[in-house]
Amino acid sequence: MYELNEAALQAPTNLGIVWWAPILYIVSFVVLGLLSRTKIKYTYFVPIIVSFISIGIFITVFSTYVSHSWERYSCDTIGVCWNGIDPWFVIGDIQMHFGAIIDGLTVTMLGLITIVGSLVIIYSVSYMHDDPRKTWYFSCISFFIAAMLFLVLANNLLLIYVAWELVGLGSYLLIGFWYGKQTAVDAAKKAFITTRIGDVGLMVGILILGTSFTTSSGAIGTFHIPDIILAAQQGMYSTSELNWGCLLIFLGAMGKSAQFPLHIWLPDAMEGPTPVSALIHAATMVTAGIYLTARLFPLYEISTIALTVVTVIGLITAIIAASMALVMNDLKKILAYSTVSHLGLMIFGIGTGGYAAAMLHLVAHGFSKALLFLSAGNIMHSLHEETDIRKMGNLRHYMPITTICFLIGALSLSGIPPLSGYFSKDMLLHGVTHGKIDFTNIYFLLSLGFIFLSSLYMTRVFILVFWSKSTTEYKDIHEAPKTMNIPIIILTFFSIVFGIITCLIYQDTLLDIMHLVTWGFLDTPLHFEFDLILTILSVGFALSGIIAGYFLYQENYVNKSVFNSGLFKSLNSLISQKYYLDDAYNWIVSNVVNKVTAIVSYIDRAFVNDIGINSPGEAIRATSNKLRYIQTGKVYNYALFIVLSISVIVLIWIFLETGKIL
Amino acid sequence: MGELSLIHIQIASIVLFSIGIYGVLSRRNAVLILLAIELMLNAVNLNLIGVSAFLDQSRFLGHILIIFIITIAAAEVALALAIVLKLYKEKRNTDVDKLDVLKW
Repeated sequence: MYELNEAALQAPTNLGIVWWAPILYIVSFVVLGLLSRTKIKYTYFVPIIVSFISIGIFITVFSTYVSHSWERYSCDTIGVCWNGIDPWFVIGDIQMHFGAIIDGLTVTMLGLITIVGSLVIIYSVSYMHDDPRKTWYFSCISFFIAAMLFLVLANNLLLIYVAWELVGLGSYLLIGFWYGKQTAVDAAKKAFITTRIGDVGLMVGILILGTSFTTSSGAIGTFHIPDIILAAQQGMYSTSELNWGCLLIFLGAMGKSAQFPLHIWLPDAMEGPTPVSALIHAATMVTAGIYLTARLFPLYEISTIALTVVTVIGLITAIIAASMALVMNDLKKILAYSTVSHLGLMIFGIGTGGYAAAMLHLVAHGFSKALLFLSAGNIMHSLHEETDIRKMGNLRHYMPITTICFLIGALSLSGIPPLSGYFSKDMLLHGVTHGKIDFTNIYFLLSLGFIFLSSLYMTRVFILVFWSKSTTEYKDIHEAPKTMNIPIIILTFFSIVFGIITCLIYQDTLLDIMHLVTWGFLDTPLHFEFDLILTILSVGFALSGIIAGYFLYQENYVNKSVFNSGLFKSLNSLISQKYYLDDAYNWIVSNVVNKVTAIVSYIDRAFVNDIGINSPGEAIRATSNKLRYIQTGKVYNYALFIVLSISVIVLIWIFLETGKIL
Repeated sequence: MGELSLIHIQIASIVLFSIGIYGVLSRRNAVLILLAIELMLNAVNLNLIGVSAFLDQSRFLGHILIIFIITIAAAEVALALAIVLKLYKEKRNTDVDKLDVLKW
């Protein structure tokens, strides 16, 4: 296969250092896993040190990448690939190299994962302080981060698939960490099974893309991403192969990135420890689907059907999840639906071609959402695991630092300048409008609606938790300890400056990084461009959401009874019941899946088991039951039988030799 | 009668072998069955040494082989007699008619 992409194999070897990031996390996983039954304290220093080293590795790789090798990346290579010289394994014509892609996408993801990962680990030290199984907790977190690092480094789809499943396993272990709680066990299973449904599609899609074209030299297929992309651009796939491959891979991304209708697992994943939620929502789990779609974006550029599906699914997810975030009463669930909604926005952004904007939003949202979740962790820590926002209120007097940080995170997600969420949202809108604002563009209108909704629910959470009068009496409430606040403050800092740095100060360097894999088939915005009308529109919708939220939830301007009558009531109950999706899945499982499996299992039992396997056995048993009476146990009977048989054999032999008997 | 030739030895061997078969089939005593088996073995030995002596006069392969067979047969008989002895100690009996438990 290497005639396709020789150049990608020749890489600066010093970038091989990047492998040490996942390897060290694996070491941390193994060491802490072995120590998890012992009573050794302070085991958490291992992952903390590892996470600092991995941040160092990220900085090294980042600076090497930025400083060196700009000119070499023309449109026909996909950044740097670092490969072992010997193949990992060979099947027929397919050579598999255990290698990494290091391009702008990977470097971006590396930064997000290592930074958020280390902050979450530091935060967890205080949060999980009293948990007797915290060594195992840190072990699982190391494993989770290691799997995600493998996923973003992998240069071929098979390796990505392996890492993809490992990420799923990590999420399963962490969501179900408190396995004493039935809800946690259910949530872990739900997350695992729902993402598995998508993974089936992912596997079939990978196999379609990996095996269905033949090169000029007769070699069949490859799983190397750069080669696949080149093959697609050279037209080696038929249209249907490419469409099916892209759609099925996107099914996997839908499962992992919680896109409608496979989003149902993410809100339930709240049952894990809160730092884990921060990790899942910001850096490791749900970003995998966005990453994969972005990584294979050149394929989606070619397959227009798949690209349309991506766009529509993303938009549906964004709007539906935002509406659900508006009516939930559980603090973490609101944040979870907010994540689903923003993931939908990212997918939608990729679909409209604003691929770099989607990655930018991924990072900006990652910082803000990790910040929000860790703040929620602070609140729950002080309120003894209370998560119902109707029972909260007025917390700004008790937890000022958390309040300020939460406010900044919420404003960033609402898209208020100059916070980072504003820049990424604006770039996404650029991708939607392609430079000219057109109010007949349904995508554009719906994304403005999304902005309104997202600032509305953020205002609702903020007011109900921090501002409005408290309905319950707080006992011994206090601000969180320093070790928990420092990671939050660092994340706040990133939320504030990330957008300014990438989009204003260093945009020539940093934004261009994210553009290396596009081929310019779509008219994507390459730089952050300040468009006054667009800014006024997006900020205006965000502000109107905030103002509406203020009057609705703080001043009670509109009588709440309006929501309990007529159209509003049915709408409200529709959304509060999560659009009856969970019920629909339950109905399908109990009425369709279980019935079908009952039929299948009956066929298996009646035909395969009873007739196919048991009946020959029964026949043999019955025959031998009759035949065993031949055995008399008397020695001379056997002897006589031997003598007679030998005589017969001798006679036959004589007959065969001479042609006559005697 | 003339000189001793191969056919005489073979006839003797067949007679000996048939006596052995008859013994195995008709005796009830385990020791006698063993004796009959030894008879059959030696009939075969006789046949072998006759053929060797008359047809392969330049070498002594048959003779050497016979020595081996006799040695091994001695060991085998010792083993068989030990089994019979053990059987007798267990069952107070060496009648093969009554030793028919090893069946279905």
